[in-house]
Amino acid sequence: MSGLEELRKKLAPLFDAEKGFSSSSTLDPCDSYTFSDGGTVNLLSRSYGVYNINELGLQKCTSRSVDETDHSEKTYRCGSHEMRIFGAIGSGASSVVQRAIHIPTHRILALKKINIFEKEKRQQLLTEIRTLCEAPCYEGLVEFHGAFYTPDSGQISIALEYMDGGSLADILRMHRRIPEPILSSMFQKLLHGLSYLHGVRHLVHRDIKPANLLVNLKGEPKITDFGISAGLENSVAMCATFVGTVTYMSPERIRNESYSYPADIWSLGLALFECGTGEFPYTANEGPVNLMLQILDDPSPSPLKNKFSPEFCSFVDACLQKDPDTRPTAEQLLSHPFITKHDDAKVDLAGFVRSVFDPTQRLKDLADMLTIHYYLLFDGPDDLWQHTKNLYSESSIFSFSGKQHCGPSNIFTSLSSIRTTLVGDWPPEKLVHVVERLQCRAHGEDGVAIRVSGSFIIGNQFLICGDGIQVEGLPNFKDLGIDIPSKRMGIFHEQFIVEPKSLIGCYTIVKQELYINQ
Amino acid sequence: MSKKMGLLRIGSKKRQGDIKRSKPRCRNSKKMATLVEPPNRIKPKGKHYYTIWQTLFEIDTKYVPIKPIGRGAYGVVCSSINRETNEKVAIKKIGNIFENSIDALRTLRELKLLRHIRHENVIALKDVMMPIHKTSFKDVYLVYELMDTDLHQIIKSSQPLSNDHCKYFLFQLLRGLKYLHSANILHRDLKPGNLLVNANCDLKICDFGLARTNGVDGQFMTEYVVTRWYRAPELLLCCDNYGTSIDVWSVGCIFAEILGRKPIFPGTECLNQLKLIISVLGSQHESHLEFIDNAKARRFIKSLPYTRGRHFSQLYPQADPLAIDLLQKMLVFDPTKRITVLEALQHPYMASLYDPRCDPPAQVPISLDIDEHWGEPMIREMFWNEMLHYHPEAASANA
Repeated sequence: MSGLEELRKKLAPLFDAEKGFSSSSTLDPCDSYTFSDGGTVNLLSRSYGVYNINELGLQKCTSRSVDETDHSEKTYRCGSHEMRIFGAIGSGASSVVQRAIHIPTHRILALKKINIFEKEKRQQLLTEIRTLCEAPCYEGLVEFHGAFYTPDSGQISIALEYMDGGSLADILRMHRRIPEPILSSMFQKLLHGLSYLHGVRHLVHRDIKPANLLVNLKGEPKITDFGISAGLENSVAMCATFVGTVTYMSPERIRNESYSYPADIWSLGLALFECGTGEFPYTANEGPVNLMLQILDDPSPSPLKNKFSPEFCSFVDACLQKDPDTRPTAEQLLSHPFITKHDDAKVDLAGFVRSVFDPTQRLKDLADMLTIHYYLLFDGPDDLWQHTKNLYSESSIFSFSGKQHCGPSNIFTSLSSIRTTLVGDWPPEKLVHVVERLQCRAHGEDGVAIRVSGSFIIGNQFLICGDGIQVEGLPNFKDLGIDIPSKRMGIFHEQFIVEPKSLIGCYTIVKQELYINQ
Repeated sequence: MSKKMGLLRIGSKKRQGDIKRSKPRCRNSKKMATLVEPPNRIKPKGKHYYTIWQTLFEIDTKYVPIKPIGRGAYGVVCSSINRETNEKVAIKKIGNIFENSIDALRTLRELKLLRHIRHENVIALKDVMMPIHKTSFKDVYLVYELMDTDLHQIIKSSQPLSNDHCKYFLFQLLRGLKYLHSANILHRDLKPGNLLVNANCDLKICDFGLARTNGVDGQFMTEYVVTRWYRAPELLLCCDNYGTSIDVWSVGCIFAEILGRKPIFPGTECLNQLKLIISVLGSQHESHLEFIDNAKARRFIKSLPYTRGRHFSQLYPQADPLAIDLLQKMLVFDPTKRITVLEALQHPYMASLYDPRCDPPAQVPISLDIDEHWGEPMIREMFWNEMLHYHPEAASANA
């Protein structure tokens, strides 16, 4: 003990305790970006120009690179106040994905949320935003709809096309394997996307795997998360915990050699192998070193010749050449017999996707989201209510009090009149909806019929009972302890027939009936 | 506290990537915590609201935030005063904790462990605030004792460190680790950033999100844990029966980093990590590879080019010879031949500081009953139960 006490006396303080440790080190996260007034985050990159992200969305301020001198500046307004954010639909190594409805267009989107304050992830985000900003809508690639910064959570949210089917990894979990004709048709479209990324955008995806190959209920397959791995390449995060036990990395990447487009071809080959056979071809549960050594040292995996077509085997073998220079390009693979073989077969991708995913839960989720969205508009502020017109088409019909109203303008006028009556003389409190019961069933091929009943109470916002999907910002009904019978001012029943528009994630109310009792 | 810290300093230091700064405009970052109105204008009893770096904090009224002190993937941390005890604390807000079940379980694991741990070299968790609603809370607020900085910041700064500093840091780390190992806890993620430090050189181990009990529950531990640079060879090579020796390896890497002011094995990925280790330790004799149970991995180690390695005295010429000797014994490739924590404390370099009578073991071995397949309802229930330990009065109110 005396030795320890002697040492303590000899120790010089590390720093002045009053001043604290040097702020330039302590506040390292501030180093590469600045907050301007109003909470705007400026993400700066010499190559990419200046992106200005705040609650109002992503705005591109300056174009300096030669490539961009021909284009006008682009602004993507997709701010946080324009979003209804619902629960998470997935969680990856670096981000969380949620569903959201974009209020002005009523479109369901996928929101990828990334913590901006992690220094290591800034470059990753810049790469992804740049790619998404500048790629037009292209077959085989998920579409970008904007980005915004949420001050409260310190996250940047990127709005992407909502792929209402899910991923090939989801399919494999339920179906074990995917038939060859389906794979042929899917991978043709994915190869178009990859060919575009490589040939036109000159980007290596770096993270091709079944979880990043998505499908929608129309049967369209698309690649997502392109550019996501770029920023991780040289970041401290890459030194962090090894997440997962499977890698789709090519041999040259594992050897730390320079790599390029052929690395994506390798990953695509592994993904196809896994989708076709139902199994990842390497032993993954003996640790990352063992896995990497298998990829380096063992012969490339090859599908069993007696179980798969010669074209499938040939395609996989071509992609999984150890030598990157001998792998075909995405463009070349589009001419491969495995792809062209089923060209005239009219493969029903939509039918396949529908047969795989449980329609009931998706229908329920859709009904929940649309119902919550509608009543948040109805019982919400006036400026948001104006967007309601977009929910109706010229042939939409609204029935109330023995009368029918057709077309967006008439319906909006009628609903606005009801809304004014419910506001009454009590602002900020008014009569608001409490949805107590919600039922839904399929309507036609992709539509949904929703039947809602509940009570009117005096309050300041819409509420919904039950255990369905929750929306951010709306209090959970259970927590409020409201006794509805004693507060009930009236009863309503409402029915909606909702049909999808041609744009994925967009819906129209084609028929609406409202009954109100005192 | 009236002195304002210079939050941002322009330097000519090179930074990674091609990110560069525009004019420094960090006025918002200079702001202290700001008292604000509650959202939805509903003011719950016993809570008040502050905005800290534009993050909303909903905290018990006995805590008054002072200023933000850090942020990262986990959330935002601010220093505060507990008005009931006049004690300074650090409040960490973890927002939307259920969004990512892996992170949620890591936090839960830390709560369970820290509730039992009482040691001056392990960070103390003083409080976990009770949310207003059990069924719908999304954020968790953890209250820790306040420390000034972490060892990572010290190492990369220009602050000189004497041999006494190095020795004292290592001693405290080993002493805290001895306590943990006596409680059957493997930390599994020791690194400079997880070692908090005060101006007076006190050191405390933190971040128990990856900690585990040492095989007591017989779980098959397939996780790949520990930040790679500090990962022991047996972890890299996937040996299933690892033990306390993995933490000793991490301590060795940290000690080397204190001596050399930079990481000793900054591998870019698993195979590269192993190559770096062998390039320093030298090629291993057959008898030192018997712990490797994977044939392919063993073959890989043998296939690496022969090297005699580099003696630590060449890497750290200014270091105390006894420190070099201890480092040599900690960074042994074969875990069965690596020095234990107790042996390290008894090593001549540490002997003048270590008094076994002053370092009692933990009272009882701690066991964790966390199932990694729990869904949100169960995780939520477990969080609530942990909070009740700090707020027993809330149990009857909610029963």
